[in-house]
Amino acid sequence: MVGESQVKVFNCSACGAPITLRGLGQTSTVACGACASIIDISDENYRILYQYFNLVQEGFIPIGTRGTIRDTQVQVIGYMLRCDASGEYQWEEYLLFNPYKGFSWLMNYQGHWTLIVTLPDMTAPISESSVQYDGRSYKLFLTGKARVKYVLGEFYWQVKLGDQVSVADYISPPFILSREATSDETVWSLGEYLAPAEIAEAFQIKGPLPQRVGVGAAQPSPCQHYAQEIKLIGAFFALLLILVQLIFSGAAQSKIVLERTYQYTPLHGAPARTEVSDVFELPARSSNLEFAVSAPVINGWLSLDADLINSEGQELQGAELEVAYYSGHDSDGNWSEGAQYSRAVLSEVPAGLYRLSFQTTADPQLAALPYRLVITRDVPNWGYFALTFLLILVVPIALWIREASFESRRWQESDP
Amino acid sequence: MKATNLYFIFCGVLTVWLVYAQYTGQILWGGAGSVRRYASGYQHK
Repeated sequence: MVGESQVKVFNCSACGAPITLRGLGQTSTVACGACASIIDISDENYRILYQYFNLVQEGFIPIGTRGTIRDTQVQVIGYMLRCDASGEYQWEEYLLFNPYKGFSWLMNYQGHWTLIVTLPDMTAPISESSVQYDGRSYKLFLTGKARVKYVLGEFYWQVKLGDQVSVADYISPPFILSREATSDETVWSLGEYLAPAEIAEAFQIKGPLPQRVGVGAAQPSPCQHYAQEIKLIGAFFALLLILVQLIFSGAAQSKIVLERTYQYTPLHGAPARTEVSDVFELPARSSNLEFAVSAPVINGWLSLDADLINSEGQELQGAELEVAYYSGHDSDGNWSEGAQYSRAVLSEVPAGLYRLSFQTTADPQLAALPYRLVITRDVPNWGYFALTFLLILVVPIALWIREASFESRRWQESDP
Repeated sequence: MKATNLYFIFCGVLTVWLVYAQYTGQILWGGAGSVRRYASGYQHK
């Protein structure tokens, strides 16, 4: 517990305002909440280390606020505003204290909160661009200087405005490793990103918290919790679909049930003659049926309008196939378009006895020519496979795009 | 229901759909020609 009885009150040596000490002898300086002067509290006369006037500025979470963060009761005892070397970017750091667990920090940069503890025994090997720590790989995110712009409350070292350290941040969301170095020492700390809702709950903040701007350095991706699982599920079913498709394609009978060559005779204005094929049998279960027509047409077309008729004389399905092929020679050389072959596949044709009724028409300029009609039962079909495969991949691809966009926005803030 | 569970069900339904379509010989598209499907009972003349 962090109790009210565990505090000490004295008057500021500079302005006389009352100052409350909450660090239980573990802090060495305090910044006056009235005049911002920094006082040495290890000195029995409360010697003024640095005197500032009219600089008082309260943080978003006031000094003395208690809260429970990650199951630990803490009290805010210090507030520090720091900025980069240019002064363009600044962030808040709150010193939290628990009598049994010691100090921790809460950092707020543009509405992104990070809970930080120092790592006194950090011995992780460092490469230029990454750090390995506790089984995770941290990538270098930024390097620069951090300068103390303002302080309020107690601290465990002799802090003063303008103190500057070299900083390197390495990230592995939701964690961030920070190295702060001066000419005398190097301090490592480990931070974990906290959602604003956790801060509000920890300190019972009723009003709105600072609005988040952009993506935080250690902010986890919003779909981090399920993205990996979704990708695994997608990969599993994509492979399963391929397997199913290969099995059905391999098992497709591709059985020719009718194969015959017919002769086209020019009509010369007469109506097209209807021809009827021999009866053919489609065995076993319902399956697809392919019509294929080939004809040696050159610079012309031949069209077949066919209807499938069952043994009861009912037309079930029909298809129109056109063979058209043109070729020639121009300034670019030889050219050709179309094909001397055309096919159409009927869906779900039940087993039974069938005939084909068809009419053939052709380019009036064509002379008589033979054409070949082949009807094949149960041919491999890739249409449904392509559709289901794409539908399954839509979700992982959408997640991937969302994650890539999120990471892109995160790394826009990087300055290694 | 979790997003992952929903996605798993979605993928499962699509897989079953593919198996059914392949088994019954359904065609999504079937080559260069155009295909007509008549209402049952149309009498050929």
